[in-house]
Amino acid sequence: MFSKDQIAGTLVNYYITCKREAWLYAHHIYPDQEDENMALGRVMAEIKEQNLQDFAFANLKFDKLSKERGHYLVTEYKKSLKNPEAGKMQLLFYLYLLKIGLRLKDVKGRLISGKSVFLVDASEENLNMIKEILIDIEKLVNMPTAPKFEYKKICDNCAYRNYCM
Amino acid sequence: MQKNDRTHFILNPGRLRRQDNNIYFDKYDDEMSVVATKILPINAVDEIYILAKVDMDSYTMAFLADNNVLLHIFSPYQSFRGNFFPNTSNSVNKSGFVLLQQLRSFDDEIKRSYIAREITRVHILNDALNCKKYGVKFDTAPHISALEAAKTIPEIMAVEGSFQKLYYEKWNEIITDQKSFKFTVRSKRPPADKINSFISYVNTRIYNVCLSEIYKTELDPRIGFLHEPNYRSLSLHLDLAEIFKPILGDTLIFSMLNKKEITAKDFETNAGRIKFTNEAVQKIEMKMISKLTDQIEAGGQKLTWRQIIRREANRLKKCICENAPYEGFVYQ
Repeated sequence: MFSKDQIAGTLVNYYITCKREAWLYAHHIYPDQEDENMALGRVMAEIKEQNLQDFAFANLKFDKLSKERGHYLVTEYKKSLKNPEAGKMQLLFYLYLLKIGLRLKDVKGRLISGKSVFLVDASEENLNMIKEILIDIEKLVNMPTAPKFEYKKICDNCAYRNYCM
Repeated sequence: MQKNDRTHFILNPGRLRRQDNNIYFDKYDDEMSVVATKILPINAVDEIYILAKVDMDSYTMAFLADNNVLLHIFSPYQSFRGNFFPNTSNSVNKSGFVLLQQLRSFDDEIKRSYIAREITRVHILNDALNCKKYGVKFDTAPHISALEAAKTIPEIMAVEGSFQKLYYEKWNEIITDQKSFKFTVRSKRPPADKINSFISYVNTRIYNVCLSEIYKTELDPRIGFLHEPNYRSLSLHLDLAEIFKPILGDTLIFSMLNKKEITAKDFETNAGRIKFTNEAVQKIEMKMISKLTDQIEAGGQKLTWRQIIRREANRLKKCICENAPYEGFVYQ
């Protein structure tokens, strides 16, 4: 039985992108590790910036957390922002857990990809949205089989393509 | 897209050591003193084959593990001893779900024989295509129909065995040098003549390539479908190799023998056992690596042979996990 506290940020991101991908990832069926985009992502995780530090809390593994004037700032790096919604939800999930787990009062999120920057706010409305998504994820992952494969445009560049297709 | 075959061979005795986040190899001479040092760039190595006596310490092994480098260790007679497979947070082959599904598919007699039959069918087709390429007539129809009638694993194995015997007889029509490389009977452990020794070496190599590709997926190499897993430690890579042996191994043997790249001089006999000289191993490996890095078109993508093998493993995984129909790879 998969419980809600096993959910990690990547799973939230995958859930928004593709339900099948999320199911596979949760069952430890991993994508091709030698895929170009996977390798790039791994390198992205090593980027360091000033005033930022690694931070480990529960199964959160977000890229960086920094303390700004009056609030904390969670930073997430993405290679591209083809799917900004997924990145935003991933950040929101981090903010949600930080608010609940560490009782931080003021947390903000920042999504960086190249020169474009998105800011994510932990407002009441957003937090309710992520709460519902987490319930949906738990339901999806506890299904006995993966959702059926349907060809979409993103499948061509997905690291799971050799498995799904 | 990975294009190079990132495999490294160690053919001389020496010491493998870590220094400054990199791997160094010190070559020894007869008196165990260092004569040469070589750097193996860690990010450019995926697998290391050790065919000689090599010193190593746990510090080096932990470093190799962290970087997901696979070690294959061989005996002096070039038979497989085992491998060191890193199990770290980086490695991906840790899915309880896939393991359970694989065990269930193995226990399910219908599904197991379905997979085994498909593997044998593809093996027969690939072998027959090989014969066709060399202009040798070979009729597969009776074997295929016998295979379809076969219900249990021993029956499938029997079909495969009788087919394999006929196939090896055809080798005498393909290979031109009949004086030193006449095929009479397949013998293993140890191979009795030069052609058997060649087949054994090339097959071992393909088993290992398949094994390393299986390790990169979540499948467990211990549970095979066609080969009985009871009496050996690993068997799934043997199943997968059945598909690729005719495509990669047999064609390599034919072309190297017919072009006289390997002759009777490339073998040395020691106490009745036949093995390749180091120069011959180098020649074969150059050929093997260039073969493995060849790109071919499959499923709308350009893939190297290694990637094709992994794709095949992934298909098997999909069949195991989701009951998807499995269709093996036939090289036209």
